[in-house]
Amino acid sequence: MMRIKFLARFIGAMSLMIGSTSAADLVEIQTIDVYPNQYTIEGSRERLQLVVTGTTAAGVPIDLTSQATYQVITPGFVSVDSGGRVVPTGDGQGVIQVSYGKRTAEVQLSTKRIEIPQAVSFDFHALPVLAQTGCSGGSCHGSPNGKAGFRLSLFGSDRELDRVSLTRTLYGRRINSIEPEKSLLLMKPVTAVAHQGGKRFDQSDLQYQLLHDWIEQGAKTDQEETECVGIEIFPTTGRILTFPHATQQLSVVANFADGSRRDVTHLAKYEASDPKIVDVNRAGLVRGIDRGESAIIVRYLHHIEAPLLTLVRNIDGFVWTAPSAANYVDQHVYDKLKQLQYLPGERSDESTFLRRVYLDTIGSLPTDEEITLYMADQRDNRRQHLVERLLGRPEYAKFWAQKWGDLLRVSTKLIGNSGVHKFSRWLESSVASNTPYDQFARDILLAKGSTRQQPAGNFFRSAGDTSDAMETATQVFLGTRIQCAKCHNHPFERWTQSNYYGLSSFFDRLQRSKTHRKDEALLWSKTTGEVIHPATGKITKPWVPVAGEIETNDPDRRVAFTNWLTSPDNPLFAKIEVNRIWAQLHGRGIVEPFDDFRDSNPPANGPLLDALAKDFVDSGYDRRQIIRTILLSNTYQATSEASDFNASDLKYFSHYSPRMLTAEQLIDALGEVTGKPKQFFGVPKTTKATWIPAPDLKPHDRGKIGSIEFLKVFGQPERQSACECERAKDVSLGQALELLNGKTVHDMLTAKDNLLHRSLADGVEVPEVINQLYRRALTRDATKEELEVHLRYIESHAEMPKAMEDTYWAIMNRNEFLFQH
Amino acid sequence: MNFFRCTLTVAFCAFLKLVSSAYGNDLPPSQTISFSAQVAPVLQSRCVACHGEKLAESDYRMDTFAALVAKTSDDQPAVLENEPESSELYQRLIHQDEDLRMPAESAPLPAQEIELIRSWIEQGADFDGDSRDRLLTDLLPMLDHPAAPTKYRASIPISALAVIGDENRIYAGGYHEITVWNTAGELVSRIGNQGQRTYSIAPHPAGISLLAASGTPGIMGEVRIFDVVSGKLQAVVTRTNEAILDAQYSPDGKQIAVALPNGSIEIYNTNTLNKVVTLLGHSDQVTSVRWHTDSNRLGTTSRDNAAKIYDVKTGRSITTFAGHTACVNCLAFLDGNDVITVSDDGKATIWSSVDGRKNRDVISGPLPLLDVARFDRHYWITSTTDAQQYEIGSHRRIAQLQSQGVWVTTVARNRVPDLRVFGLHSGELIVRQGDQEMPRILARP
Repeated sequence: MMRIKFLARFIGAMSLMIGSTSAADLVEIQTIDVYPNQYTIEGSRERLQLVVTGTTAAGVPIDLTSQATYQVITPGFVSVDSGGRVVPTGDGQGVIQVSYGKRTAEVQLSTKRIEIPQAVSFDFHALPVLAQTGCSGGSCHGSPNGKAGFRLSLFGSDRELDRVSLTRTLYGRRINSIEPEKSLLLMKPVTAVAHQGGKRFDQSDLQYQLLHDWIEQGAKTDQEETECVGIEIFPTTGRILTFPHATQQLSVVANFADGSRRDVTHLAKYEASDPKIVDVNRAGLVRGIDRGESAIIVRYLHHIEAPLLTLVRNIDGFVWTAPSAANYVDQHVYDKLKQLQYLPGERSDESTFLRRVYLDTIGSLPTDEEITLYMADQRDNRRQHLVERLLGRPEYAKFWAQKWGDLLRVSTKLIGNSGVHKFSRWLESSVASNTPYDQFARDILLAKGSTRQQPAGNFFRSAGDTSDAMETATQVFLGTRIQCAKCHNHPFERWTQSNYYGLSSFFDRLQRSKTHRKDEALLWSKTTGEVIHPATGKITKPWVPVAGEIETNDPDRRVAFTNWLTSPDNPLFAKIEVNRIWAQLHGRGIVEPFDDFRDSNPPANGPLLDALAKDFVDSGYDRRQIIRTILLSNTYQATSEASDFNASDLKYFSHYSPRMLTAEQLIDALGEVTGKPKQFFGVPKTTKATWIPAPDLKPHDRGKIGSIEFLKVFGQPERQSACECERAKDVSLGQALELLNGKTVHDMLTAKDNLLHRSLADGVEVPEVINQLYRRALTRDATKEELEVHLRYIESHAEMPKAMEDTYWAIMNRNEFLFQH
Repeated sequence: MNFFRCTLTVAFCAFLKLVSSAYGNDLPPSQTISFSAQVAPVLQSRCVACHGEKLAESDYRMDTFAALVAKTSDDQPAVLENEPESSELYQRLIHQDEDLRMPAESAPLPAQEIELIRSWIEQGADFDGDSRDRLLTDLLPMLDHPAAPTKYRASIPISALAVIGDENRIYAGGYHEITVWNTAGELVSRIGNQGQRTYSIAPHPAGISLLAASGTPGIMGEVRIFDVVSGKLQAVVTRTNEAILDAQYSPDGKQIAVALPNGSIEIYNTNTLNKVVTLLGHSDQVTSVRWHTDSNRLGTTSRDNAAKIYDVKTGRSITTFAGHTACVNCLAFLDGNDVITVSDDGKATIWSSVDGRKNRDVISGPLPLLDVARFDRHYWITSTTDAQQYEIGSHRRIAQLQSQGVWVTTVARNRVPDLRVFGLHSGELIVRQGDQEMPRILARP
């Protein structure tokens, strides 16, 4: 059986391969179009990349750039290769005819200034080549200390540094003006001499030619008279490619301040946001690897665009079936799944759902009684009723307030004991009363006066200076990790150093005055004060993403920032929060990592994110509404068991992805199962780990909560950073050891007054004790087979209570217990 | 005696040998093949780029004989004596599979080079050098450097400078040569057979010979001795795998200090050319070496941002100055224990050679400082825009030379009469006598 299945798959794969070689010929193309269809090449070094697109009868676009044939109708002014690359050979104008089968299209071309040799430009040619070939990348010579004594600025962002490194350092060591081909700058990347960075290009490559000629012409570094103002990519974002037609040639054209346009396809740097989905080469040719979506991050100079490509593959035997959508979440998820040919998972069973939704809302497992109560509920919409009940419980507020405590770095180290209690009580009450999220953000960002009276102001004590406040605010509310831009333009994104200081200026006037009381600060704003850009020495104007520089009359500039931030017109504000909520409930954001929004990290399902954000704004930033909508979707309620038609999907939410309980959830769950909850210092006796206001509460010189080894091993963050990544999600040997023979688990199991021993002492029958255990740990009854296995073990054992402890221990080490699924 | 530390006669013989054998590949196969003279040059030029100290593809190095014949990861030596067919070294050169054939991503070696390696293995893969652990570059026969171009197609930065003799001859680093100019800007003579770029030119205190550090960036470095008058090569002091930036005679003329790219400094006996001692301590390329007038203390600067003072007799470092934050380019001994260093960090700092403690910054600015030289009671510091003269003791600035934004890479002078020459990145020379500045000389044949 196995073998037949394998064989079938193999044949399937074979036919796919055969298909891909001749596939384009099999499709009837209705029309073809060439981009651009009109262009002027100006300068002997300039090139033009043509992109040929065929459209099928069904209206589907297919890239034919490398299948089409090109004919220069007017001879003697250009040549075209089979990949659609046009090289000027003389001044003139005319037509290139492009044909595919019977279809033809034309390009009107003119060429100018081809017969006079064009100088290689330091800024527009040489530096882009060094960026494109990786030389000035962050892990090579573009790192802050350079590599092997040779330092370049990151992707050519600092031309003066590069000018000195390339042409001046050590008597111009890297440039040989007498015999250019013997320049170190050329011999290293072709590995004619030892090069740790390996081979970057060949002598026959255009990259080599440009650098060579630049040196031959005297390695001039004169400033250009114009500057690049932006790049245009064709095809624009959203192109769908269907296997086997899964290649796409890109075209990149740069626009300059003087109005000129230059094709820079051969000079741009390309990178796939998801290299498992597509591969893109130096010539801007994209090749599909697997179905899914990936942005192509295209960089030329400091301009970045990231068009999104969707790769679709017809799966043998795939027939779309899905339950009717419970709400708009399902509609958008199903649209994407249908397009990518994944089937949504079936509905999870009641006990799985019950356990899952408890952990996600209130952070703990349902009790025996709660299970009974729910199972007895005969109403059709009992899941809806359950969600309502859970979202109204105080534990929900405590559990979700703790997540905010992580983000806002609520810790005694930064704001003291009383600061921690005040701030976390404030967070808890804002969740409990469902404060609109825009209000919540305003309360935090605009806090003034005493932090004892305005507990939200403790944010500015955790984030104790201008940089910290700005970085934390952008991280938390704009989902942007902007720290890199403090010292240099962001290596992968459009963030520049000016942006960093422009954002900083909103927070720079805020003052934090000490008072005579401990753990208190007075927040007030100066009426003057400007941020100086460290590189230019000039005043940096207040600046926000998308909107750019903004004018503000209020001397407290936080007001202008917060107004912009919480405006419904700011798409980021709502998106970041709904994505964060989604990630809390699914273990993975629609944008992942969920606090890292950037062009090069596109959402797995853009329309879904947009719809959630819209709903959020329309509802008046009602967080509970978003949680409810997600929890009641089929998508959330789908089983975690993969089927043949969705097993390979880890990104598009076809089925629920299991994840390990957090450190706090796990220690609480162990306590609930054994009836011996862990007690923590400095908080009331019944406080659960999922409610603890800060990991480092340390009263009376006793151990800190965070120093409980178990919590640390399972990833409890110390709240040193606003980055979600601080919560360690890796599985470690330490965790296995904690569970196998750690003190926490051992103490809970062997305590004579734990549930197990009390039940046995009360004379409860062994099978019943085991079943209670199953219900508490796994939210279900033990099956007959499981019960038999346990009973057999216990009977074979001389000491029944010891054997029962073993049984407990075995269950607490099962993935079904350790994971939310 | 080492091949390189040879006297004039031996060097001459080596020349003859070199002329007759080039890289030795045209020798009849029946003759015994020399590893040093024939095989090593092939390996050095074809293989070591990827199988060397910096980059050792597949963890296999070929930059020394010992590494070449060591066992590979498969626990098999790459070279099996007398058995070329079983030796991976040979097999990889002729492999049918392009992915396995070496050199990787390149055309195969010329047939005669492959045959040379095959025959050498067949003859027993003997080693004929003096140490199996020596770099191949150090085993190669003395190179006859390519001839300098008659006319340069472009100027090159002045990387070395000296002014010598009553006639004020200016010696400047050229391309595979040292060019000699008079103060009127006429090319007087050319001393060929030099490494690609010359980084220092130091006359012997008695004026009989010239010490030149040179090299080809990324490939080789050398120190050679030339006759001042005839320009004839007298000896090769040492050679390594990266350009050598400085070499200086001690004031008594008895010793030579060489600044090496690996961070060490070697001291040679001028008469025997034997190595006396190796000074360790710097962790990156040494940029300059300067002797104290006592001919025992040696000041050094390095790309590791440090400067050091060594006691050459004991071979120990006396002091380290770690006050710079970028490459230190040069050093000069001033009065008493004062030492001055100039650095890319924009600082010219005076510190004590006894305890390394900073005394003061003479210059602290944004521009890299490139060279410093003491002349009697004052010293000159060059930068990327000018050169400035300071008085020893008061450290007052007493003169300045503007270069209109061109880097002043180096400064030299002749003792009598008081003539100073500045070398520029543009390849020009500025000559100053007293306060008088002469027309610029473009040192480009």
